[in-house]
Formats: sequence, C-alpha cells, structure tokens
Amino acid sequence: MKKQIIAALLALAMLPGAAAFAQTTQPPFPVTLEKQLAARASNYTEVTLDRKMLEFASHFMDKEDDAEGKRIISKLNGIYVRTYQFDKPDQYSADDLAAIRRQFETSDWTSLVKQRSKNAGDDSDIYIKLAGSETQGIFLLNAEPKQLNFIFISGPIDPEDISQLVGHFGIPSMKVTKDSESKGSK
Amino acid sequence: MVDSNKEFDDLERELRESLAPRAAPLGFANKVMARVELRDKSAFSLWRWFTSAALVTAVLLAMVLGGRWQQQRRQRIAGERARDQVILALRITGSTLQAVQQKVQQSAKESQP
Repeated sequence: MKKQIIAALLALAMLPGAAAFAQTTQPPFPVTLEKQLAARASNYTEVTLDRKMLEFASHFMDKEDDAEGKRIISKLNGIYVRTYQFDKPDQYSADDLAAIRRQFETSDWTSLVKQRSKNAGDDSDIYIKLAGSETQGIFLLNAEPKQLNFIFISGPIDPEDISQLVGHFGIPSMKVTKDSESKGSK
Repeated sequence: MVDSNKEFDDLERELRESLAPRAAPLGFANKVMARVELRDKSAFSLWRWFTSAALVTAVLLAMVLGGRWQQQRRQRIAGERARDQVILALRITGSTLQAVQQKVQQSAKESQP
C-alpha cells in the first residue's frame, strides 16, 4: 500500500514534465508520408527551419532585400517546406492527400481554401490555425499532376504577410511559376 | 733632522714594499675566467628564456586567434546557408500561395454562368 502511494505521488509529480515532454516531442512538421513521397519523386526539396534556425538565420539577413523576410520570420516558431516533383502523373493518390489533410482536420485548424479536382491531381488547401483573433499557423497544400507542395508555417503570422511575399524574393507578381523552385534532387 | 730623514726612509720603504710587483695567487686567472663565463652563461639563458616565452606566447596567440577566426568563418557560412534556406522557403511559400490563388480564381471564373 505504501509503495502504491509513493508510486502515485511520483506519477503526479512527473505529470507536468510529461506534458511538457509531449509538447516538445510533438513532430514540428505534422505531414506524414514524407519518406514515401520522396522515394517516388524525381526531385524534392525539404526545408526545415525551426525557431532556433530562424533566429540564427535572421542574424545574417542584413541585406536590403532581406528586411521583409526578416520581419516575417521574427515571430515564427518554424517554417517547413516540402516540394516533390515526379517524372509522371499518378505518383500520389487521393488517399495520400486525404491522410495529410486529416492531420489538420482538428478543432485547432480551420479550412480556408478547399479546391478539389478529379483524381486529386489539382487539389489545393489552405488551413489556418486560429488562437482568438490571431493566426498561429498556416498550412498550404498544392497538388499538380506532377508536383506536390506542402508548406507549414508555425507561429504567429499575418496571412497578409504571406500574400506580400509575392513580388519579393524573385517571385513574380502575376505569373505563376511551376517546377522552378525545387533544388534538392535524389 | 735625523728623525725626519728616518721617517722619510720608512715611508719610502713602505711605498716600495706596497708597490712591489707580486705574483698572482695560484689559479687566479682561471677563477676570473670562470666567473666571467658564468655571468655570460646566465645572461644568455635569461635571453633564451625570454625568446622561448615570447615564441610560445606568439604561437598560442596565433592558435587562439586562428581558432576564433575559423569558428567565425564557419558560423558565417552556416548563417548564410540558413539565410538562403529561409529565402528559399519564403520563395516556395509565396509561389505556392500564388498558384493556389490562381486556381481559386480560375475555378471561380469557370463556375460563373
């Protein structure tokens, strides 16, 4: 009985730590299937920037063109980008995309844009995470027949800031550029 | 008068005795040379100690400064790489958002009667 009480007390004492551990060990980029998609892709780009990396990078963003980007990343917890390019269509299924979307179909996230197409080859989604009136995260999914893009931005961000990215960093204001960003290759 | 002559003689004799050449004690020259060598040797070792200390200090300083420079260089390269990653991420984000916006606009246009 005495042992049980001690064990119970220990468990109680460890609860806050366990909760904190669970929070910190939560995967920063919630999209699964990364490995499977990368295995099927002819080219892929994975950019993982957590808060520490963003802070570190911001110290070196001292050029005039970097000011906007520096301002945007200053409050963020992380930016996670995954782009996959495929040699041929049908390298991912509607079920793959549905599995990814499911991770954002929680009470924390709100679907802002939902664009569906036949065979999921032209789907688009924008989810935002709201905390009160503040946006605490954005998830973008853009599917093309031979390309998939996922962007997950964690932390307080004004959606307007993302819109303003167009016209900066070599992104043309009007024309959509496809298949031009991927740098990584298998 | 006799007394003064005697005094003078005594003085002269004392002077002669004092100024008479005497043979140096045995081993005197060797002793002197040994002392001179010892003094030279200690001066040389002090100089050598100073030179060695200065050399060691210079090498240590060069190592510390070189290490720091190398560390700063590595950090700068890593920082510039991180910056490039941020720019790439923002660029892909911007273009993806633009693609989604165009799709939505296109879809809206198509759905209009």
